Amino acid sequence: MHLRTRILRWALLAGLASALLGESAHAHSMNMFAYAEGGRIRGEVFARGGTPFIGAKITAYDPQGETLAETTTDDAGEFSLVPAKRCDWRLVAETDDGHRAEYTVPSTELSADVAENEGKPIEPSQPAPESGAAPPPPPTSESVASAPPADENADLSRQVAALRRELNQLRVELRWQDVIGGVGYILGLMGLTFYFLGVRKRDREAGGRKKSTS
Amino acid sequence: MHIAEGTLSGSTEGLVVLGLGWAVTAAGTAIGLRRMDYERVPQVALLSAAFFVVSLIQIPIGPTSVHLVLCGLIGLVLGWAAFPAMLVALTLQVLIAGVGGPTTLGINTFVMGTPAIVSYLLLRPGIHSKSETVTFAAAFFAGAFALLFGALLNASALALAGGSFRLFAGASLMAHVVAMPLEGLITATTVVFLRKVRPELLEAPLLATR
Repeated sequence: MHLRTRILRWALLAGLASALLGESAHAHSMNMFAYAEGGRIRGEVFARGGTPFIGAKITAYDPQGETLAETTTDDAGEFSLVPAKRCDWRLVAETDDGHRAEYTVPSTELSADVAENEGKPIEPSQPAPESGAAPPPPPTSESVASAPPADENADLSRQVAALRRELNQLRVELRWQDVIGGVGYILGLMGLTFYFLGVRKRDREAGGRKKSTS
Repeated sequence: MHIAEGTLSGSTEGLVVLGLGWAVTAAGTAIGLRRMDYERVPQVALLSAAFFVVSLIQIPIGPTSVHLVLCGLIGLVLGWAAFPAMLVALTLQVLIAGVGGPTTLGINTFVMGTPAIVSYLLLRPGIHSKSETVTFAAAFFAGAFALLFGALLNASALALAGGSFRLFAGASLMAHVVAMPLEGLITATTVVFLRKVRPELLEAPLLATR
């Protein structure tokens, strides 16, 4: 049994070492991240650890399950869509070998961009910087006045998107603690199996003894 | 090589595939548990743990990354007990790593377990050979082709469910080309090593060391 334990120990050590070297353990599952920016929905499809999924099929659905748009990811595993409708955009990424991931871009995130496209009024839930920066330059037309804050807004949304991408990465990343935990469960199951096999063996022996004495 | 949650549940054919996966997994697990005696328990647990760990560790090679599966090795050592071992490991992968899903657990265990049993049934005689070369070759074959067979079953399951039959979608061809010999080499080295120091694990005679 020493040998198996030793092999397992090496496997664990390899896992630990790779985790400590910054190349943390990750499964080959597919993940997606998407955000609205500059009137488009941009997104990326990647395996844990950041390997891009090339040519994954992206389908966008509205909350009623109607297909809104379709596209595929490029060589960097990225895609972009033009949101034509203001609603929650549920994006589903699929590959032919059975990987699947989902991500929803909420309508609140879209509204500013889509409102620009369709000329709808800007929602009251707009971030503060807009209203704070709007008053200073009121020269001639409305469109000129709103131009600089929109630029600032785009900058901000890019930064927020980068932050959220990082958060999402953190969420899907598998930590080596999880892997050790899984091994612990298996050892626990082994103990449980031993217990029940032991109980059965004892019962059988007890039964045998009773029969022999009677 | 995991089928994700929700990929198959969309169509009737997909539900049939899911059901078949569960049926085979249940049968395999029942046979495996029945044949698993006291001495086998630690082996099953340790190989289950090894399977759980190695398939979570991605080794980046070039533009892609691969991970070991050890289907062949698990089959050669455990025989039918490979099914319960894999079911446990895959369940934990669903719960902890979010790989695969609760409904696709059956089909995923089937996809990984069947190559293990096939290696066991076809190549056990090979790895019991007196010749080290034959043992090595048989184990290499078991390791490499269990992986290919698994990929084939995976693609077939998806094709049956109405998807297109694509054995290697995109970058995963590259991954398999790298992973097959790697898997074969590790299986073969381990088996030859076991034959020399712990042959009873494989229920084989001791391989003479020269």
